Amino acid sequence: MPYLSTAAIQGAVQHLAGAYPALVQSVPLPEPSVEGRAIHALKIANGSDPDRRGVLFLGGVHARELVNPDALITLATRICQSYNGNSDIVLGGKTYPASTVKLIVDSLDVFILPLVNPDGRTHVQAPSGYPWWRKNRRVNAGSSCLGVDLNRNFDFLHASGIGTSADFCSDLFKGPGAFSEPETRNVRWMLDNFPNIRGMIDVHSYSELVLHPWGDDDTQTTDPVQNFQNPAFDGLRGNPGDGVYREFMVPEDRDWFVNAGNALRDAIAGVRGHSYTVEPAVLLYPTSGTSKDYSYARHIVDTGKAKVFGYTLETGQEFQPPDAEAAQIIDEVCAGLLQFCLSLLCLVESVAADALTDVELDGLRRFHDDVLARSPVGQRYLAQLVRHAPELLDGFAADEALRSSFVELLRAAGPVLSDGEGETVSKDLAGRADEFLKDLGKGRGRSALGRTIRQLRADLKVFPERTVRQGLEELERERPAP
Amino acid sequence: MEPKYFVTIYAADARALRELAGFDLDLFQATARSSEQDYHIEGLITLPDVSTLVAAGYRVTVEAPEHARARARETASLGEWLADMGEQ
Repeated sequence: MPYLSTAAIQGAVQHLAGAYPALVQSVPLPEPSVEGRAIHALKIANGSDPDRRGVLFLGGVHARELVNPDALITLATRICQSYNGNSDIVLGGKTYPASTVKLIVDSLDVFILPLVNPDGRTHVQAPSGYPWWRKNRRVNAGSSCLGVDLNRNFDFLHASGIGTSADFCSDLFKGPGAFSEPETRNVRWMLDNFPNIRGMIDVHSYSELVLHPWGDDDTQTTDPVQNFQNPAFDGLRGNPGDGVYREFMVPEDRDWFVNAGNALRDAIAGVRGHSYTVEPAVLLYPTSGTSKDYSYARHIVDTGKAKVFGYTLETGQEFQPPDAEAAQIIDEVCAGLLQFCLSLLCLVESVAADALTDVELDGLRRFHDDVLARSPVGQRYLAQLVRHAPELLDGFAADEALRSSFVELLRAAGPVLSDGEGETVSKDLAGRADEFLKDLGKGRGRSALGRTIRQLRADLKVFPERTVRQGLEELERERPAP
Repeated sequence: MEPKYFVTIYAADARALRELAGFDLDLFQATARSSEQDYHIEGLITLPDVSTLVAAGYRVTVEAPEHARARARETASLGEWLADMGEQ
C-alpha cells in the first residue's frame, strides 16, 4: 500500500468519526494550515469521567517523513476495530488482547493528530513538489525561501538558537518567534484544551530512537538552579559533554521517562526484533524549540498546568521506506504507542475506579503522591508497576475474581495507605496482601513479573506492626538503592 | 536545482560534528552517532557540499542519489485504504 495522500488522511479521520460514533470524535483544530487546509485530530474514548487521563500522538510534523501519519491512522483504526469486534490486535510477534484494548479505550482519552503539517505533505507528494521537503509552507516575507521547521518552533528556549537557524532558507529555520506558525499553535491548543493529557509522543523519522527530554543539553537531577528558565545560564547551554551546564530534571520524572521509554522500546522489539534506543534527546546534537521539550516544560513554566511526559519517536531507517518495510514500521509504531497508553494508565483507577468511592480513590492518590513517590523504595515499586502494568492489566481484565480480590484488598488497606502515617499494618492485612500476591503470581514463576511478586512477598514481612512509611524506611535500610 | 545525495559525514570528534551545523546543510540530527573510531551523521547534500566538507577535514561517503529513496509520488486514495483496512 503506497502512502496515504493528504486528502486520504483527512478522509480517514472523518470516516472513523462516522463509522465509530460511540468511540471516535473528530476534533477540528482552531487554525487552518498556512495554505488554508483544515486540520483535525481524533479523540478515541469510551466514557467521560473528568478524572480520565489523556494521551496525545502527533504525526506528520516534518513533511517528508511519510510513514508516520499512516501509522497513526492505522493505529486509530485498529483500536476501533478491536474494541467493536472484541478482537486482538496482532502486530507481528506482539499481540495486544482485546481486553487490553478495551481497558485503554475505557480508561484513557486517546488523542491522535495524524497530520500536523498537511501543506508540507501535499508538496512532498505533488508531481512538481520536492520529496524531501521538511518544513511547513510559510511564505517568508522578503525571501524566496519558504517554510518554518515546525519542530523548532515550539516555545522552549526558542530565542537561544540552539540547534536551529534564523536563515529562512535553512531546513532548521525556527520561525520569527515561538508559535509563529498555525500548525504549532494547534498543538498548543490541544494541550491547553485537554488538560487531562499526561503523555505525548511526536512521531518522526528516522533512526530507531525513543527520545525524551532534555534536548538542549545534558540532563542532571541534583542542581535545580541549572534550569532552562534561569537567565544566568543563557549562552552556556547547548554544549553537551562540557559539564558547564546541564538541564535539571527531578529524579522521579527522569525515572518515569526511562521506564516508560524502555517499555515502549520492548513493545516495538516484540514486533520483529528491532531494538530501538532509549535516550535523552540531546544525543550529540542539541536542539531547542521541539514539541517534546515544550510539552514537558509547560508544567515547570506554569505550575498550574499538568505535567506531560513528552517523547519523540524516530521510526525506521529512512524517510520513505518501501511498502513492505513501511508496513512493518506501522506495526512497530502501533505496538509502541499502545504500550505507552498502558504506561499512562493508573492501575488502580483502571481496574478499581468503578468499585471504589471518590474518598477511597483520593486516599490512594495521596498514598501514591505523598508516600510512594517520595520514598526510594516506593519509587522502585512505582517503576516496577510501570514496567509490569500491561501484564497486570491483562491479568485483571481476564480474571474477574482476581480483580475483585484486588478491589477488596485496596478497600481494606485504605486506612493504612492514605497517608502512610496513621494506622499500622496488621498481621491480618499483611496476610491478605500475601494471599493476593500469591494468586497474582500463579503461572508467572520465572517471568520478570513473577520475580517481582516474589520480592514483594518477601518485602511484606517487614510491614506488620509498622506504618507503611516506617516499613518503607526499614526496607531502604535493608536494601539501599544501588 | 543541483541534485542531492544521501551521505554519511564522519568527524574526528564531537566538537567537529557539532560544528557541521555551521555549514547549514540538511543533516539528520537524530542519526548522529559516535563509535570508538569516529563521530558521524547522515544528511542530504549536493556534490559541491561534499567537496566543501572534505576540504574542511571531514570524510564523506555517498550512499545513494536522492531519487533512489523517494517514494512520495505514488499515493493511496481513501477508498484503497479503506478496502485494505477492511473498513468497507
